[in-house]
Amino acid sequence: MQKEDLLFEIGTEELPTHSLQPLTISLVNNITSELNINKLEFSEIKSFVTPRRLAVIVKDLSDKQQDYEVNLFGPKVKVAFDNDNNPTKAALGFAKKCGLEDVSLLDKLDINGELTLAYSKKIEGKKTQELLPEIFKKSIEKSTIKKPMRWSDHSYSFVRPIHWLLMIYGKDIVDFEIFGNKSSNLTYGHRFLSSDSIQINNASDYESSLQNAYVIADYEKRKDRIKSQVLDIAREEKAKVTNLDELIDEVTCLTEWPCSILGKFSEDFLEVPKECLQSAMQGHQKYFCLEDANGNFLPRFITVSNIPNKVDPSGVSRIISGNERVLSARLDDARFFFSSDKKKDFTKFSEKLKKIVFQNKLGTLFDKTERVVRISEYLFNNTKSERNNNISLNNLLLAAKYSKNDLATEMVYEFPELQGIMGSYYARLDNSIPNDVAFALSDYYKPVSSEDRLPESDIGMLLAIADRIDTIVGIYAGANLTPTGDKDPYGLRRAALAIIKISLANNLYFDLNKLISFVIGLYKAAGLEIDKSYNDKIYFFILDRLKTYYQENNVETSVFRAVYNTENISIIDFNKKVDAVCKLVENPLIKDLALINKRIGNILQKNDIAKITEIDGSILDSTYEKDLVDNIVNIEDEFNLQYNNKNYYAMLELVLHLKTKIDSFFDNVMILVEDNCVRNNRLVILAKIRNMIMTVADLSELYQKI
Amino acid sequence: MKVAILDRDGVINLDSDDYIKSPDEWVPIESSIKAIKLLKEKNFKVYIATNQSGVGRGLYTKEILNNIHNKFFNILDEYSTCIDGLVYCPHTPLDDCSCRKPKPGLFYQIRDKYNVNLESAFSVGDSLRDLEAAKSSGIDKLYLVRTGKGIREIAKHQNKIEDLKIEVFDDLLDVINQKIIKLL
Repeated sequence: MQKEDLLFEIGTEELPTHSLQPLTISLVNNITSELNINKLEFSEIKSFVTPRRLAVIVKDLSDKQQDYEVNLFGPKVKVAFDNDNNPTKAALGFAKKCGLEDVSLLDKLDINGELTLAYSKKIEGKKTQELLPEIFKKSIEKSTIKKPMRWSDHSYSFVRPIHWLLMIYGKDIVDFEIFGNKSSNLTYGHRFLSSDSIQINNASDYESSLQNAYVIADYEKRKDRIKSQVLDIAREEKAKVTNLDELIDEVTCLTEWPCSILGKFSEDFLEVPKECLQSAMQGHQKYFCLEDANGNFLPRFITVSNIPNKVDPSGVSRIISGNERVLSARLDDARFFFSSDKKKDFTKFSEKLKKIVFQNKLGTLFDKTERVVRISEYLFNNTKSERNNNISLNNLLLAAKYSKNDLATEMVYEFPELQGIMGSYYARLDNSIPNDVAFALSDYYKPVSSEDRLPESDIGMLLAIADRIDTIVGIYAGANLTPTGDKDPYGLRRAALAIIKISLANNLYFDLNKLISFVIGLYKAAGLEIDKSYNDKIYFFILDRLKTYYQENNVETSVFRAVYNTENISIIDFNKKVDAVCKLVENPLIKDLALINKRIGNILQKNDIAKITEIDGSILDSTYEKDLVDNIVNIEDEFNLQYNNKNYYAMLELVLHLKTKIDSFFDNVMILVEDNCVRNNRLVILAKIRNMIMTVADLSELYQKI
Repeated sequence: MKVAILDRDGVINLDSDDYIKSPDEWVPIESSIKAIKLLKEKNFKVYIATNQSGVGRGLYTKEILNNIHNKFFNILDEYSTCIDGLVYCPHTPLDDCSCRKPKPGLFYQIRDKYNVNLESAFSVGDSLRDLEAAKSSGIDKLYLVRTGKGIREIAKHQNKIEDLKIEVFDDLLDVINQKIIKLL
């Protein structure tokens, strides 16, 4: 079998930056699975992506499918031959289907106790060249495209219009047509620096041919090039790049031949907070920013252009001056916003919030802050923690009151990503606002992403929870915008996960259900109709996020489910139970406990208990029964005490002590006896044991894996 | 490790000569619950050792006693606090057990069950036999409270109280304020 490399490239108009990587990944995955389905062997797939092209090289792709066998089954032997042992029509027909003339070449196999004619037919593999068009058509059609577009008057759609299609297997062009383009062995280089088509004769020439035409096709190589250029410039300036990681992927997606250039701006702009400078430079201009060793911004920036410096030296200076001019206009704006915001009384911005809508049904941002104030107060009074003793309620409420003020400033209007940061800046400039309140105004926005740090200050963490629970309840129940699939426009999942992480990290103990009811109450008081069922829905919506949390922390999902099935008051309780179960999983006796739980569960499911909640000691007759009840009574006190202490592991250990007694109870006592009272009493004994286990965790969830 | 071992009836709840036979009859001394909360906040381990001969006499069952204690735990929970352990002696004097105070058995149970060093502990009771039991188990810091049987006991056993160097206080909260908070 021959092996050759396959090269496939689509030339496109400039692709949106965020689409490059998802598109490449899904294309490679689709091609891999299609090749596997078609039983075509290859050694590896390498992908290339630039703003104007998507390409893959499939290395050592075999030139035909492997031969394979198909098992065919025919008529049963007793109908395949007549009395004289001659083949019947049925047998002849089957032989023909198998491509045979002689019936005796067929196998006789025992299928379900009856001899049946069968044949395993060898199928010769098809040629790769024939299969490739269908494989690539499917792979492209299946790839993830968030916003597909149509162009001209064609019926098909893709991320962006397609200009050329290159597909060669070995040296040969693969005959393929998609999106109105026929395949060739021609590609094109840099949009401005290489005009003619380039012929590619072999996949291995692809990268180097493009390199000569000012295109670095390999994404990682391009990214490394930008990184080393930017760091080189920074080193010369004795500076540190502040936003390398945030920006480098986007810039890599914007260039085919990246060249980094240093630019300057006036020192006057440095009076503007550095976060604003960075927003202006990074968000709109995609510039890298520089700071000195003390963290002060330098009046410098690095821009990455798509044109090489050496081609036209006078061009470079034009690029620099053009960029400097644009930037200085943007920074002028930022400086103006900053100075005009500063002139106003920060505490008065809340009046403006009355005109900004939070959400259609949920009123204005002013209404939201009023709720957040109430929720913060509730949390202050109803949260147990070693930390929040140091909080002053006054300052917490002040922070809640001002928490959205900066959204009414001009700076945040222009640079929305500066929300919180600006609030903190402006509050610090106002002498009437305590420092910890000012700090909390940006602190409570954390965590912004799943990897971000949590709020550091005591006020920040309570405010963070208050703000997020208000959003969750409001959007979920008030506006009825339940997150579905990957659509979660208000970031409710992220908000729920943040609440979980903040409470766990700071050991904040609050009754989650009561908190939700309290917030629902606030919305109801404002005139919204909210169905009772939302209390539970939101409660479980938040607990569901714990699943994600535990997956990130390598806790088995079965452990999560075991605790999920029980009654949980706070997130802290939930976590303590998970810890207890994880610890118990190391104990070899857990299997016994899980089995007991499952067995009792099965019995109770089939037999309803009449309403008797206490064990009736007077009708215990068997010694095994009495022994078990005695033991239950003896541990109960300690069990309740440990429950009060939230020591869930000790609780499970106590139930483990019952194990031998439960075993002999099961072995020697008939539970489902005729006498109703006795039977009920025995079921109550079992229910009592199960309740003890279920107080901590539904161990039967673990049983499935042990 | 900082350890407190307390008697129950007359120290934590109002005592009754008629025994405490149901959760309804168990009425906490509010200041004592606050005292337990204070102890826990100062990182003490708090244990209860109590004679409950009513069980042996058939006046109430262990189940009822469990319910009584559950009421106690729930009240602690309302105050956002808890205790670390509780042991009781269900026997009558006639059983001649090793745990009924003034014998030290309950204190040894606490030592073994919860892995506690008794030497560092202090003990509070409303009767002499509580503190005699504590003394025999090796505890030196002995405090008698005037709640419960306390006042009667002081009158009856003046000399023994002096011999054992027992200090007398108004109630459990008074002990904690005078002996624990002031010294910290």
